[in-house]
Amino acid sequence: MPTKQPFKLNKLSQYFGNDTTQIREMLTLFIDTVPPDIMQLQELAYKEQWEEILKITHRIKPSLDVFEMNDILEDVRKIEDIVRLNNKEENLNNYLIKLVDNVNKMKLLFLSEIKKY
Amino acid sequence: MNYFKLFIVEDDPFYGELLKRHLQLNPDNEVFLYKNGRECLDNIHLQPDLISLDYGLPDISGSEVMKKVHIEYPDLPIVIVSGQEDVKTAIELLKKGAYDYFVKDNDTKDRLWNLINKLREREQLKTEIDVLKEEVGIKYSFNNIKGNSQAIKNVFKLIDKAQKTGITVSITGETGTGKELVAKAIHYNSTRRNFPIVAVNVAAVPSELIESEMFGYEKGAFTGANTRKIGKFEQANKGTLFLDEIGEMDLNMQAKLLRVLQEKELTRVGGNEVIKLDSRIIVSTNRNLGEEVKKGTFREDLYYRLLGLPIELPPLRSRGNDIIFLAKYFIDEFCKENKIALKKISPDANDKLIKYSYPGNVRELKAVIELAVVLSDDEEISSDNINFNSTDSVSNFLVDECTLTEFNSRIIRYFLDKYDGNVMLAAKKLDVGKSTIYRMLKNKEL
Repeated sequence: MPTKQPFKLNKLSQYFGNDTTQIREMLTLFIDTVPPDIMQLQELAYKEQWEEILKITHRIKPSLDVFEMNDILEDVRKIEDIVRLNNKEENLNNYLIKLVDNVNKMKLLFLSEIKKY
Repeated sequence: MNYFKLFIVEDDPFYGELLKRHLQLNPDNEVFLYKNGRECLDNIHLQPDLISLDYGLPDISGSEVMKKVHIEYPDLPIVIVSGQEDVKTAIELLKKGAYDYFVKDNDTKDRLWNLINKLREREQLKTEIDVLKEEVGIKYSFNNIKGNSQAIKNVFKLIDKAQKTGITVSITGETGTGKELVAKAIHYNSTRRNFPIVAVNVAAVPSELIESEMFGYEKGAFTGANTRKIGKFEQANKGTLFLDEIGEMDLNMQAKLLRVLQEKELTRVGGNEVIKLDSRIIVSTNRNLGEEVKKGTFREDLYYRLLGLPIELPPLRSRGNDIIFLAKYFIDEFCKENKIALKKISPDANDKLIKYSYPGNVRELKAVIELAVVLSDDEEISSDNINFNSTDSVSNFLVDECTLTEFNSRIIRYFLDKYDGNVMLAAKKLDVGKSTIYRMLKNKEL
């Protein structure tokens, strides 16, 4: 069974058409800015800085949506809900680990995609 | 080239850069990206044409940034772009003065792109309107009312006084003397010039329609009122309402007009909302309103309210050399407009023009001159080219049946008007003693 592609470039192409330079630069900018934000979440949760977590999740969702990273988006929304509702029943850390794992997988594929441009 | 200056205030560097680069695909857009509210406020002196503002900023809330920007630039459009699909927040921000509210999705770039185009078009239209307003102002400027006679110079003085204040002006004069031109000259040189002048020819509006025409009506006010209509009074708000032929207004409408002028507010027909008014009123008539008051066809209280600064426009026949001055002006204008060689007036044509009584005044002179230019075959307009539609001046004079004494008075009055009240000159032209005229003046026979 083929692995599901964790992101799509259709929407980005709608912004810049066939301008490969713009697309490459934007892909690079994404990988330089969004994953580092996500990687902070575990530490912020450890420090119980809930407001900061909500600021980051709010900020990154539109960017994740540009690449239709639906699995990662689902994880982010779940984490956002747990923090916002202060839901002790759910294991926030498990979701954070899953999110980081998904982001790391995505990064590898993403970097190889950048090389195509 | 005028750049469209856009601020994008966005804390997600990727998303902000994405919008910036996309909108910069149009080289006429100059896009500045700021990552927080403080940076936006620090650069507001650059005077952007539009701000795209993320609601959830890390330092100051979007709402607060908008408030601060609008203190300095109240008309600057700010569109809130946010990931929050919260209708309540959107409505709240729109109430506080946001131009629009976009949810961040794949259509955001297109919405911003369309909004920029819309604002550009709006700006272009505004510029065009300003240019047109200026042109109209020049067209109706003081200088465009032509004449050198004392009679018209007196009118100029009054127009000047009217322009400097908001006083109601009542213009009287025979048909064709330029009452509307004077009303427009007052408006376009007053402080209200950037607001409309709305002219209503009272005589041309059927009496059963005048109320709805003047005050407007609400949807369903009467059969056929399918939509709300804004009346002339409201259209002229902050500008000037010019009521031409006010003497033709019926008594019922006069009472309603008086009430609006006193209260400075109106209610549309079929409506309850009270609308405050602030418009200057200029009225004109070719009737003697004082006489109409005596006859009981015009309300005395309205007469005094409308009288304001009275400007009486002299008939052309009493403006002496203005006839030739205006004739030359109309020749010049007509030849330029039609790209034909400038023509002169022959001495006999000059004489013929001077002797005529012009019941249609300046409007008639203009028509006569334009026809003469068309009819003349060479560079000079001869008396044969001058054609008056009405009967000759002597016949005009004899239209009313009067006694010989009354005709004498009329003749002397005519010459006095023509020579700006110069008794010596009038007496010389009529070959009578100056004492005859002085006696008639003393006995109030003139």
